Amino acid sequence: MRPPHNAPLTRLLTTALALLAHLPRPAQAVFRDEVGHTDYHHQLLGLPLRETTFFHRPRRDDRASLLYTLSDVGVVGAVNPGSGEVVWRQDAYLSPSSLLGGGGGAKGEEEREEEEEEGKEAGWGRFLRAGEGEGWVVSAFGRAVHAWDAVSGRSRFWVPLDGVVRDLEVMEMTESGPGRKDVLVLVEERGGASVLKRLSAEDGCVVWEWRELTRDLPLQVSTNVEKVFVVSLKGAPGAYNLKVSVLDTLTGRKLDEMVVGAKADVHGKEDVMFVGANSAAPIVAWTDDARTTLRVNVLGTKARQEFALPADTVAVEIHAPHLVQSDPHFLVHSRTATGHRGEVFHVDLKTNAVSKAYALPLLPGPGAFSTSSNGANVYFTRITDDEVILLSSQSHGVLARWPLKTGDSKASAVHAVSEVIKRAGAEDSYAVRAAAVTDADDWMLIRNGEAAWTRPEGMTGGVAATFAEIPESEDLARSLEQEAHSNPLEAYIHRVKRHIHDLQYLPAWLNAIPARVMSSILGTDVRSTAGKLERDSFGFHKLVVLATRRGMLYGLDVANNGRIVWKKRAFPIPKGRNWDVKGIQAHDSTGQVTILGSNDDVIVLQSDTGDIIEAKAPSRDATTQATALVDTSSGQHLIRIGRGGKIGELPVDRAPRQTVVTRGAEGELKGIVFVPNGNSSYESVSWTFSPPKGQRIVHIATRPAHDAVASIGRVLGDRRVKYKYLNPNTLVLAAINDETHVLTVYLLDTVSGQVLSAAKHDGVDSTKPIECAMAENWFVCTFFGQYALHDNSAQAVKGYQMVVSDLYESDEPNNRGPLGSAATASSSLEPLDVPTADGGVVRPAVVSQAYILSAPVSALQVTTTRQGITARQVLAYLPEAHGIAGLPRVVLEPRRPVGRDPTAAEAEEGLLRYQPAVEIDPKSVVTHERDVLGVRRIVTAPAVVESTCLVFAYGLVDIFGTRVAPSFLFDILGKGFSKATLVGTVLALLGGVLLLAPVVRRKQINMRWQAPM
Amino acid sequence: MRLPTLISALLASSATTTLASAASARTVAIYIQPVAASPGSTEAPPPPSFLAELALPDLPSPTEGEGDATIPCEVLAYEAPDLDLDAGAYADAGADQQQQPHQLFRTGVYDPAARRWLSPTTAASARNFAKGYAPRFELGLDGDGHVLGATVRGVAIDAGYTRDFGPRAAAVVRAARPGPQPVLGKPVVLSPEGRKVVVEERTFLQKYWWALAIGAFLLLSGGGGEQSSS
Repeated sequence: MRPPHNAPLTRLLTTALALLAHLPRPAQAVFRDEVGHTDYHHQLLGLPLRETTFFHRPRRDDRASLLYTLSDVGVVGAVNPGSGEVVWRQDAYLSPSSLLGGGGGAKGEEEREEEEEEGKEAGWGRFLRAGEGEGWVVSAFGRAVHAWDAVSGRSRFWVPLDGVVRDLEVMEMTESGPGRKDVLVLVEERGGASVLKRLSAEDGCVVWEWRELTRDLPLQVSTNVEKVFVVSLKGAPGAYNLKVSVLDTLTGRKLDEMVVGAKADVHGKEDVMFVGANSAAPIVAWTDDARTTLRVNVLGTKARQEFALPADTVAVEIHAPHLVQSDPHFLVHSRTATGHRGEVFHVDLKTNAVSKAYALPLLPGPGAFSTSSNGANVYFTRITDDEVILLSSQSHGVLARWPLKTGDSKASAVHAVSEVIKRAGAEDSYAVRAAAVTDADDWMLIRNGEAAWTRPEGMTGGVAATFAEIPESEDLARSLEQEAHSNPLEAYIHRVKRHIHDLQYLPAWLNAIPARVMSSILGTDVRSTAGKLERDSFGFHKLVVLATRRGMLYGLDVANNGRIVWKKRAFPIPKGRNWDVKGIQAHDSTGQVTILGSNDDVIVLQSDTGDIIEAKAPSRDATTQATALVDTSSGQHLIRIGRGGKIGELPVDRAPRQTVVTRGAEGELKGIVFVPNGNSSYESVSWTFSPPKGQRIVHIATRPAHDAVASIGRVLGDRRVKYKYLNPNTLVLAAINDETHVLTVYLLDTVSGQVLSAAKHDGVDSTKPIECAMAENWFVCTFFGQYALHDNSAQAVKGYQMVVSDLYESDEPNNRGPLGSAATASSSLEPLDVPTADGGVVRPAVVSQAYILSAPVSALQVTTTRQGITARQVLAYLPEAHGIAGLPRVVLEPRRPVGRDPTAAEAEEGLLRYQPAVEIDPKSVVTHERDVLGVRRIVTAPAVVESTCLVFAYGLVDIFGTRVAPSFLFDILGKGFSKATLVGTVLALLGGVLLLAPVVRRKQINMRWQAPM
Repeated sequence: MRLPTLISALLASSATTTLASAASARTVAIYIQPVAASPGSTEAPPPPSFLAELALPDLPSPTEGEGDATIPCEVLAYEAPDLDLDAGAYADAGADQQQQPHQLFRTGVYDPAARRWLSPTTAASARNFAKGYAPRFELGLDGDGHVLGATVRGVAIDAGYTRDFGPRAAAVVRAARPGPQPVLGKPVVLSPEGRKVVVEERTFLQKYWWALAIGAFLLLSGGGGEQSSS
């Protein structure tokens, strides 16, 4: 940086000026060199589904292929099979209203959840298809079809549909020569009509449409180049017949219709295993309810062939190639409770007869088969618990066999897709890579039997997470406890013994000193714990325990880029069900984490190893409404709140001391106190609160468990003080009236049930997210509102807004009002000892202000630090920008002067002039350039250093964590601080002093002697 | 803010008296019930008993404000609850701040015929009805007049203020306030050519008072001169 000595003066001046110009640069949320050091991000897709995962070549003349998937959380993406990195990904979910409005996916996460629930009930499918040699993939999820560029992931087109997509196929075209392919989409409309649309692959416009208004259930669509087959179920539930409608590919005209099989052959939708895609002889296969026989029909014929399935079969899957030029062979994969087997069938193209070619032996484990075709050749890859076996569809001879090496973690594949390459030159030499989903919810690429990479896709669908301290040595904690409980002499002897015992660690400690000094001088001490689970002096090194809806638990190391320390399956959750976690608590003294689920399930585990200490599997019924962390005479406990807000009797030592707030059977809020009665205590309702009729509670926020307050007052510019209303027993409740669109925000005292404040907001959209967050003496609420202003009805506001309210003890500074007296402030239940002029009204003074946000926000959370000295930030997920913003509290300040510049006193206090719009500054986005998808919740935890707050975001898709310092790192030296330079300077100065001291002394003595008399 | 509140409060109180004298239907009955049965017994707590009847005043049209407006309202009837305050269960309640469920009571608007609470209920300690305190009622209302809760709180009687040591009930009503709205800047007015038009905000008098003053001065001084010349 320093200019050379011979540089002209002007150049030096310009450099200095340039430096000066850069000095007042606003501080950024993240510095470039901190990226990847302070933050971590698991870019995830979700668990790939068997039918929507495949290898595909995005460029026709390029042999490189990508791995495409549409996951169970609705993310479509491409992964580089070589490295396991995400090439691109998109949210395939498009809600109807966002499509109609054309405004992108500005939907509330809650609504998405609701719709997903609806989708699950309605049996929404997820579909992803690609045409051989085409540079696009097409997906369908819910009520829309969306085509994406296969290389870049850019949207090509999307088509909203008036109904639910039942199947999606890419069809080979004949009329315009080879190479062009179109998309067939089968839709079940709301009125019960089955509609098949052929969409142009270029722009998504409808080429033709076939519509049939029957009561039949449209099931799947298939094509064999000449004809299109629509398979539907005809009849009544429990006794369906398969109906096949044959359509012309060019016009969509119905050519024929046939009912296959005997009367009432099919029990339900799930019995129809497979409808062959674009193979030369597409088939439809179904089983009976008991899984004893497999029935196969070649589409376009009426004949039905039956094959007996192996005894004790519980599940059947069919694997077949999807290419027209491939041999019409297919494999039936049948699973029993303990093992699996495969049978390969061939279809004769001339006679349409199906014959069994060979059978594969029964092997233990669930096993995974996958199909890969290369021209006419069809290969089946079988992944068992210990082997990868490659077979040809022609004969039962094993082409290649590799032992399965998955590293230290034992995992068995549940389903897989594979790509087989026959090496040129050498005869009978094959390379297989298979992407398998394992039973530990990982996605693993197995290259010739060896695990190449593993993606922890099971971390998607997070339902609960908490920070946990790394457990200290348990021995120390135990011996300290022992000393505390014994008599002083014994304790002293014990302590001396312990210290003598500790002397054995002294040499090691002395040996470590030089390394510690060096690392301290070189400024690397923050990372000194890399790789090890050990607390650091800054408090950055913690664990996060994450629970997912699929029943998996993960332990993440926050200081080492979110590395997965351990993973465990808590409970096997049946397909289609979710693990509904209601409460999670980390005991920092014991290093245990307790997780309570809705179905009476409990799991207690060790936070650093994941060892399960206690587990109780979920029962059939949901019994738990919520959980609450309460103080009891035997310490803090997580208690279960049953349905209807009932807790039940508790032993006296486990009964909460505080009032517990629960939701009643009709949605009302109840305050519950425990009444001791002998050895047990029973619950009793102390207060109730229900919003007026028509209002629906949409959100409840309370102060965070750790909410340190550094100062009880706010010092104004003129040295007067406004005292904060710091009531720990408050909650904010947002209730909306769906008819009048009025949102009312209540502030409740949770001890007495009094409404401390209520504010109304007109014109609030109840379908968009409404959320509140609370901390210290203030709360914020965000919503979408559209209304005319009170002051000037000619002016209207429309947009996402954030209302912030501060609570003070009184309106006037230096006046604490009736709340000032200690007796009154202690409890809202007790009478007032100070006669007040205001008729005994004890209420906080509320100062509110509204701001318009430039983007919707959700998952509000307030940063928290150890002592609460640091300024606060409101962290919020930006669902449209895929990032997390940290809104400074200084910006969201209700006391900003309106319509004028702040006076000198106000400016000293730090108040800025009011601006109605709060732009989300890209510099305040803590995720900076990262694309963080699908965050539903943000958790925060204080570090040991006051300046910093740890942040962890999880939810539907991604995992993100970082550290934020809202008032900047005032207590940590930055990376730019060079201790070596400092020490060097000090040493140089010392040397100078030692050198000059004799010279100066001699000079002084000489001066004395030479002084004129 | 203060003056309009005062005026509206005065208006409201006068309205209350007229309403009350006309035996208006807008009255609410406040009932009280112990949260838990007396110590030692496992029976259900006794049913709610009558505490007071309040007359609901008409609410003034809500205005956006920083605090909640309180409007006095009249207590039509008050029955001191039959609490055994001197019994051991309620002794030294103030010394131990730990809440004792046996000393808690909940209050709210109750329908004795239908035997259900008509409003949310709030909890309060029995000490509020002890000697030396006058009960104060507070009704929270939303904008449409729904009762959001009734609270009773004892306030220490200032001996210098009144000689009356009996239970003097007083009540206030608080209404939900409209929430804040963003304060927008002045809209930009464009002329038909698309240029920004500066809208003049000052009135004629504000703008030309100096011209009028000069005119008046000239008129007055000029008139005087003529008189002196004649």
